[in-house]
Parts: sequence; C-alpha cells; structure tokens
Amino acid sequence: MGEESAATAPRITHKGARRWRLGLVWLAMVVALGVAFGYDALASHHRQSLDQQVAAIANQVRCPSCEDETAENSATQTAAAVRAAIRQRLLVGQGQAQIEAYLESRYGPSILLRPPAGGLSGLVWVLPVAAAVAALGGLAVAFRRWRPSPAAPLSDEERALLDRARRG
Amino acid sequence: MNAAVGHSAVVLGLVGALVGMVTLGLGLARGKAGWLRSGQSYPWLVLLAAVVAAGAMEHALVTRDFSLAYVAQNDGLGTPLLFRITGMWSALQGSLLLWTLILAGYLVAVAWHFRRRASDALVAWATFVGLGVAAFFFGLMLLPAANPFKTLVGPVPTNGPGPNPLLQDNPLVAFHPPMLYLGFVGFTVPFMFAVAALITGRLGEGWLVETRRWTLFAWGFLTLGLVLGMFWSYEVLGWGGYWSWDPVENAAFLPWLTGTAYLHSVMVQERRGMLRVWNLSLVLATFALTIFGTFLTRSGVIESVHAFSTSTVGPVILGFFGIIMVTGVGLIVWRGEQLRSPGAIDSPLSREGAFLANNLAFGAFAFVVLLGTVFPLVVEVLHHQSVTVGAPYFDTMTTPIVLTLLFLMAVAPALPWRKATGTVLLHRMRWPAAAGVATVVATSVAGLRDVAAVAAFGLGAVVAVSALRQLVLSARLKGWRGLLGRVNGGMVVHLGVAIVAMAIAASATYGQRGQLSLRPGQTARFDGHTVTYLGTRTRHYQNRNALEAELRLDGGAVVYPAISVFNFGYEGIGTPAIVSGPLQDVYLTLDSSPVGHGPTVIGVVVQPLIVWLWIGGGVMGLGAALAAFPGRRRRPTAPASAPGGAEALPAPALAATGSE
Repeated sequence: MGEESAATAPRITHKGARRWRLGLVWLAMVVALGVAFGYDALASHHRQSLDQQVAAIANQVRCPSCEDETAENSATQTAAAVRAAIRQRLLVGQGQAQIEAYLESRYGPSILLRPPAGGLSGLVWVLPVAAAVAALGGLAVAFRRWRPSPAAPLSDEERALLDRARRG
Repeated sequence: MNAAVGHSAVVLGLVGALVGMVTLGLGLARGKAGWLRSGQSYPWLVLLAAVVAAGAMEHALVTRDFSLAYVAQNDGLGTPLLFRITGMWSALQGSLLLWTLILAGYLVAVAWHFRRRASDALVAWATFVGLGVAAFFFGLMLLPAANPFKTLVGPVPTNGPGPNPLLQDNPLVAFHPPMLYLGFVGFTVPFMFAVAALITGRLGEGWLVETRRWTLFAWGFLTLGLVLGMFWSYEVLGWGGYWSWDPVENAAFLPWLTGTAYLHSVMVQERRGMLRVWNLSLVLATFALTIFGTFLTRSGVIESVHAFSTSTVGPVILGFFGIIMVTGVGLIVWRGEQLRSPGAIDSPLSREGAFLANNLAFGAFAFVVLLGTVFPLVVEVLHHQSVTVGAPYFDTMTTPIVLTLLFLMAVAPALPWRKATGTVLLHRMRWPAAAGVATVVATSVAGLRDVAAVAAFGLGAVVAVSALRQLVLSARLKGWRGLLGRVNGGMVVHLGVAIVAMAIAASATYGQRGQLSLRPGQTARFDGHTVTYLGTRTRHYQNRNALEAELRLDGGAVVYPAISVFNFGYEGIGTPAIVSGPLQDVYLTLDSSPVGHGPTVIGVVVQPLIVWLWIGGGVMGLGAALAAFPGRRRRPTAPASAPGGAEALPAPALAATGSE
C-alpha cells in the first residue's frame, strides 16, 4: 500500500504533460459524476403509484400485533388492516402526516417506528449529531496540536558541520 | 443422573476457576514462579468441567430426560435428533453452557499457546482475568433462574413441546449460534491481555501483537455468525428481509462495530506507537458490549422493562457489566500518564488520518445503534412513555455513516503513511475512480434513480477496484503469497464488504413485495414473474404438519411454500420457498390458507442481488483467514515512526512524499 515500489508513483512528476493528462481525466470523471447524479435527482421526482405510496407509509409504521415488523413487511391481518386504512386515506387525499397522526391516535404513539423529532424523543436524533460534531471538533484540536513545530534554527556548530559535509 | 453430573460439573467449574485465580493471585503477589506455572493448569480443569456439563446436557436432551426442567421445556418426543442437539442453545440456561464451553476452550488455547511463558506476569494476569470471567459464568448458572440442571418437582412429564418452532425449522440453527458465540466469547482474549497490560504496566505494543491473531479469529467468526444470522432470518422468518434492527440483532452487531474499529486503529499503534488509550478503550468496549448484549437479550428487559427485576439474572449480568466498566476505565485512568505517546499525526491526508476517520465513523455507528436500542428502555423507565425506535430511524442515521465508511475504504488503501500529496493520490486512485464513475453512469443510464443506492453502487465499485489494485500489486511482487498477511487479507475483506454493500443497497432499494389472491389453476403476474397456483397438499413430518401450496413459477419448477403447525399447540409458522439466482431471488410465502372455496393468499418478494450478500459474507470470512497467515513481519515500531525526520524514512515513503 504505502510501500509500493518507487517506480509507480514519482514517474508522473517528471513531465508536466502527464500531470495535465491526469488532471483532465479527473475533471472528466467529476463532470460525468455530476451529470449522472444531477440527472438522477431531477428525474426521480416522478409520481409514485398508489401502491408505492402505501408501501412508503406502511414502512414507517409498526405492525400492531408484532414485535418488530413493519406494517409493510408483516403478513398478519392487523398489518393488512393498517395498509388498508393507509390506502383508503390516501385515496381521499390525505397526506403522510395526517395518516400517521390518525394511526397514532388509533394505536398509540409506539406505532410509529420513526420517533418524533420533537419533545423527549428528539434527543435520539440530536445526541448522535452532537456527539459527532464534538468528536470532529476534538479531532481538529488534536491535529492543531500535532502540527509539527517549525525546525529549530541550526547552531553554529551544526552549521559548520553542514558546511564541511557540503564541501565534501 | 444427568442433573447430578451436570450440576457437579458446574460447581467444579466455578471452584476450579476460583482456585486458579487464588493460585495465580498468590503467585503474583509473592513472586513465586512455581505457583504461576501450576495456575496455568486450572484452565484445563475448567474445560473439563465445561465439557462434562455440556455433555450431561446433550445426553439429557438426546435421551429425553424430562426430569430436567430445561429438557421438559425445550425437547419433545417428536423433535428430530438434530434439533434435540441444538436444543442446548435454544434458551438462556443452555446457552450459558455453550458460552462456558467456548470460553473454557479459549482459556485452554491461551494456556497452551503461552505454555513456555507461564511464569510471565502478563500471561499470569491475563489468565487470572480469563478465569474470573469463567467464574462469573459458572456462578451465573447456579442462580435458580439460570440453572440449566434444575429438576422438576412432582411427576416427570412424558413429553415436552420441543424447541421454539423457529428453532427447529432449519438446520442453520446448528451453525449460526455456535459461530456467533465463537466470535462473541473470543473477544475475551484481547480483553484479558489488555487488562493484564494495564495491571503490569507493560503498555507497549507487546500485548497487541500477542493478541492480534486471536482478535482476528474472533472477528472472523463474529462476521460469519452475523451473516449466517441474516441468512437464517431470510430463510426462516418469511418476510423476505434479513435485518430488522431488532435489539437482539443490534446486540450482536455492536461488538462487531467496535471490534472492527479496533482492528484498524491497532495498526496506527503498531506502526506509530499512538492511540494507546483509544485502543485499550476499544478492546474494553468490545468485551463490555458482548456482556451488555447478553444482558439485553437474556434478561427479558426488551420484552418489558418490568420483567427485568423479576429474575435475578438481569441485575447480576448488569452488575458484572458495571464491574467491567469501572475496572477497565479505572485502570486506564490509573495508567494515564504512562499511556501518553510522543508521536504526532502529521497530516489528515495520510493512512493514519484515514484510520482516525474510520474510527470516528465506526464510533458514531456504534453510538447510533446503542442509543437507538436502549432509548425506548430509558424513556420507559424514566418517563413511563412508550417510544418505538425502529428501522426508519436506523436507516436514516446509518446511511450517511455507511457511505462515509465506503468512501474511506475506497481511498485509504491508496494513502501512504505520514503524509500524502494530492498528485500521488489522484494517480493511484485513477482506475478505482474510473470504475466508480463508470458504475454510476451505467446504473443511471439503466434507469436507477435512488441517489443513495447509486452512490453505494459507485462507492462499492471504487472500494472493490481499490482493493483489487492493492492485491494485484502485492501478487506481482510476491506471487500467491501476496494474498497473505494482514494488509492483503484485509483487502480481501474489503472486497467482501463492497459486495455486501452493493447487495444491501440493491435489495433495500429495489426489492418488490406484494400479495396475490389465487384460486387453484389461476395465474398472476408480479414484477415480471408468473405464479400459477396449482392447489395445496398436506405433509406430515416428524415434528410438524405442513400445509403446502403448490406453485409453478415462470412456467417452470414447482415450489412449495408452507405453513407448518408443530406439535404442542405452538402457533403455525410459515416456511418460505425461495428460488435463488445470481440477479434476483423470488421469495414465495403462503400467507393464508384457503377458507372454504375462497382464494389462497400468496406473498411474493422479489429481492435483487441478494445472493451476493451471502457470497460477500463468505469473502469477508476468507479475507479474515488470509489475514491471520503470517505476512511480512514488521517490528512493532517501524522506522517510519521514529522521530528522526526524512532520513529515517524507508525508500517508498520518501518517494511518496518527495513527489510534490
């Protein structure tokens, strides 16, 4: 890895042309990547079918009679009832928030697999982000501390030694 | 008879472990080498006790000795031999026997490996700690609620219900738990040596090097155990998925996360002598998390926080976890001064910088999984509210972390130690990056629009080619031996991770699921497949009666998804029929049996690329095995970490830094 044969890496620096070519290759790759992702993001806003909308919401809701299954994944009748309720409400024009509010009032707050962002359960969202920011900050401080101190000026004795070595 | 033998063996194990600890402790306190040497024979006694105890349990299960409460609850006349044998790990009490058996095996392996260094204080302290852990688990089995050899009062039953139906439905149950336990329990060995290093003050890189292969062994088996667990979930549970972020899964996943972080950061310490506190903390955390996972899954606390206090098992395991944490953290604080390292990391753009970022990402990953798992419990205890933290939370939080890790895996192998320049990196990364860009463009042209999934495919391709590039360079230099050793084996693991990541991205984003209502003779189409329902049939097996649907898939093979009813009034469980292929699996379930002349409901799940999840898991295991082979030996502190500056650098590093 780091200890590859010296032949592979430094050759490129001898000629500026190679460096240019490398830069162009990377530029082309970045452009291709940007175009592909940009196109994906723009094109992905097509309308979802009703089935897909039902699945999307049912994936966020627990099957009421199971331990750890989503209403989408479970084959039980209670899960089928939840999916039917979601479909019915989508057909009359309700949105995801309204439907989840209805399910919460019907089955209690633990029906929602995604803990709400507000109140006490907001902590479960905020804490990891706060911890990650703190860790990144700590790392930045560490790198600042690790920055090598500038080389100390040579003493006269060392300078003389160096001169003698240079003269050979 | 079984009960008496088994119970005596458990007591023998406890006494043997305690006497061994006293012997070693006295030998260490008085500096008597003879006592230390005789202390090394106690692991053998503990192993003997564990073998006899497990043997007594297996004998009781196989011969159906229903006078034992455990056998009466987990065995039955209709249970096939294989599931009578695996019955030992079908419930808490028997699982403890498997745990102690594997732990005793590790202790003996350590004693044998270090037999010529028996009087070394490091080895003696490590054995002391290991025997302490063994004493805890043998002691735990003497608690009424965890005693595997408890006998029933009153008349002996003539039959039992057998194991939980889900645990006698598929032979995988013979492999998944033992492998997982080999991984779980294996992390005891690095923990023993870490504590020994802290106590003896020999905090250099010695203990790391001694336990390197033991850690790899444990990690490899934990990885295989996790993948087999996903495979079991997919083959048995009938929902077409393999991971649902439930607490039992998370409990097994947490030590894997910290253990993987450790396998990476340990290289920084071996090479540069840095991150000592961090590595000790990761070893401590990994072991502590295996105990915490046992607490989560075995105390009943998940089912209800109130069940926790009804048995003594939960509080005792939690107490042991507390002792481990307090002792470990206390020792690290006590040795704090000696753990300081003079080294410095020169640049974030270096191999060690990438390892730091890797550890940050793995740390965040473990934090999210731990928080999401225990948060509902904490809220319920403190606020009497019920909150569910389910798959949507974990998916949202971990997707960016996983993408970050893939990015690091892609770049890190091309980074030199100490300091990289942009040009070197761009040069080394040109082929991997080209593969990634080609993948992204190809998947976009093919019509895939999910940005996270496309990013995962692209990064997976970069990771794979980056790893292959390293393997090719190494193989050119050393032939087939270029695949051995930590760095190259690690690259094979990376290759496996890339395959796994692509399989997960594909199945999580592009899986299709639906239900078909069919009458006999009818055909329905689903996601490009035709399913013809031919009718149902009933089959009688040794342990169950199955109602099987006969389905013809795509006009070809006939498959039989079933609902099985086990003896003794357990609820019926579904057995899926799976048609696997390299591009996709078709997963069929019998969701509800026909009522009268009504239709039968067939569940269909189409999972793209999922077979590659199992293949990738196998590649990861293979990589771990290759990494355990001795590669090029390096002194723990190589010249690169010597504080001498450029003249101390080996030639390739010079070349890398000198090309600016």
